[in-house]
Amino acid sequence: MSRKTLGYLLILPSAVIIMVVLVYPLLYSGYLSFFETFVGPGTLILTPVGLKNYIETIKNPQWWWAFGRTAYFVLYDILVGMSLGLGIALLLNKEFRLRGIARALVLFPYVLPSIVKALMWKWIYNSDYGFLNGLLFQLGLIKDYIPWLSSPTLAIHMVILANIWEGTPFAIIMYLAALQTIPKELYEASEVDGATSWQMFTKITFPLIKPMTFILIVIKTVATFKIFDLVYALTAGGPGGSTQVVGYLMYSTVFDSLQFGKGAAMSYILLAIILVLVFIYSRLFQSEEA
Amino acid sequence: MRNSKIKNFTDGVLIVLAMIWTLLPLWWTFQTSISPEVDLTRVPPRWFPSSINLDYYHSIFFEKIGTTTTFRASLFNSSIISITVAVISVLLGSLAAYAIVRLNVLSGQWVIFTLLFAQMIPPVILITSLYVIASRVHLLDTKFLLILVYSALQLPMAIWILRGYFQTIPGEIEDSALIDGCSPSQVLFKIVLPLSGPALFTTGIFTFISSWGEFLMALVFTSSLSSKTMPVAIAEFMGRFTVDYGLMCAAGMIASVPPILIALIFQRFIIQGLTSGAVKG
Repeated sequence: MSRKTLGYLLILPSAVIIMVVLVYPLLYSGYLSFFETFVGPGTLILTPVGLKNYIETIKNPQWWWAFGRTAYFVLYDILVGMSLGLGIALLLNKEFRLRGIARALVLFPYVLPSIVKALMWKWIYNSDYGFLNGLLFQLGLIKDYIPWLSSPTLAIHMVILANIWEGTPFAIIMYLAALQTIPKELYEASEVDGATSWQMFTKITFPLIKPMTFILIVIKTVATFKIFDLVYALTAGGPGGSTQVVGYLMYSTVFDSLQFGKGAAMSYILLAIILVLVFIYSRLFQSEEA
Repeated sequence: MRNSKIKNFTDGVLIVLAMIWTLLPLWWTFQTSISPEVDLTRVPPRWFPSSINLDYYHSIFFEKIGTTTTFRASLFNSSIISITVAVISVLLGSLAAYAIVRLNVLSGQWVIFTLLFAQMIPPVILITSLYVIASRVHLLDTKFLLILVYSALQLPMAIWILRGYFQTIPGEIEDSALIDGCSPSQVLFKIVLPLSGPALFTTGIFTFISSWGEFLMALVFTSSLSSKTMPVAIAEFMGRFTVDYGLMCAAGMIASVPPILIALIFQRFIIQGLTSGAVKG
């Protein structure tokens, strides 16, 4: 058997699974997006409607609100989550006892099942017996218990806070990896020259972790556009649609309103956006490797 | 000298604060799960349980009420599904990665782009058509469907990690084995795979953790005890009108045991996997 034949044989099983479960459904979604769907008993009736689903989605303010809200999540994730990640990474990059265990502990929010994380935050935000109200009350910061998830402006920021907690470990690990590639001699030399630690950070650390920052921004953006579990479990898009993000809107369009065609059209619009982001990412990645 | 002492002290305080921020939600959940029921409705809440109460754990493991029976069945399903997916991804992923790296099959730029892209596709994009297709072929509510879907979602990442690792194995070892008369498949199974232990392990851990926690697909594709997974069971717990937080937190803690153990014992592998290009934020 030639090397090529063996090669194709080895790749075949993965290729088949990816084709059947990723590529084919992706194409089928494209097909569905041109139909209006009616769910009958045991069947799905398709009526061709041309570009109607796309046009309706683009004209739908709800979609753009959801989109803007998701972008708002992304903004917090990048500005607050990544800064927090960098800060903690800088701390964990120092020599101290128990550093190994500390590095293992920061992984927890990353590895836990997302629904368990949602459960934790739901209980923390519980307005009667939750920990957040208790803590703020005991610290004397609030006089009355606050219903965190019942007012629109509060609710979205509470979900964002939980999302930042969940996303920080990834930034920590990536930044730690980037920090470890910086040669110690650079710091030693600059110390001899009398640089302050702030100067060392702005002149050495920050420029050298810039590529990682770019990569993280793209990964974070894509990851946050996927957000669903937390919203589903904490607020189900409410109150009053105030936490309706793109992922949740698509889910409820398909499985609550049973508009399969419109859901498919939405997924193609989102896909186009993600594709642009991935293109940027792969460009960055290639310039990294070169 | 004094200056550096102050600096060490502030660093220490900041590290403790970072740990508190990371672990407080987990501690709160854990302490709820071992608190007596009266503690849970105290205002303001207790930070430490007044006495240790293991009733919630007992009822999750032994009691025969609807929610606990469902939860036990879902743990069983989740274990089977995640372990199978991890094995499939490592096995098929390493074959494919080897073909790409060493046999120069599908090794072009577009494959690399596709692998990256496939990792970034939000599952919610696939769910509409997967649901329609799965209901046509009567696979809804089966463990098989979830295993298939998860494998497809994990394979691009598995191939990506393993591809990166295989590239670091010096080609000379394989070349000399080929000259000594080994076939390419013997080289793969007798030389490359045994040398790749850490990467195979990393891939296995990653695919296991992802499948263990996956929620959206499981929510849509499973409905009965025969296939419902742990995240779906927990979500149902939470959706009830009267939520028993003690029981729920105990269930959450049990569901967290596998990933927590993995994080503690195999920390190095997780970090390696993340930094070798697993792009899941």
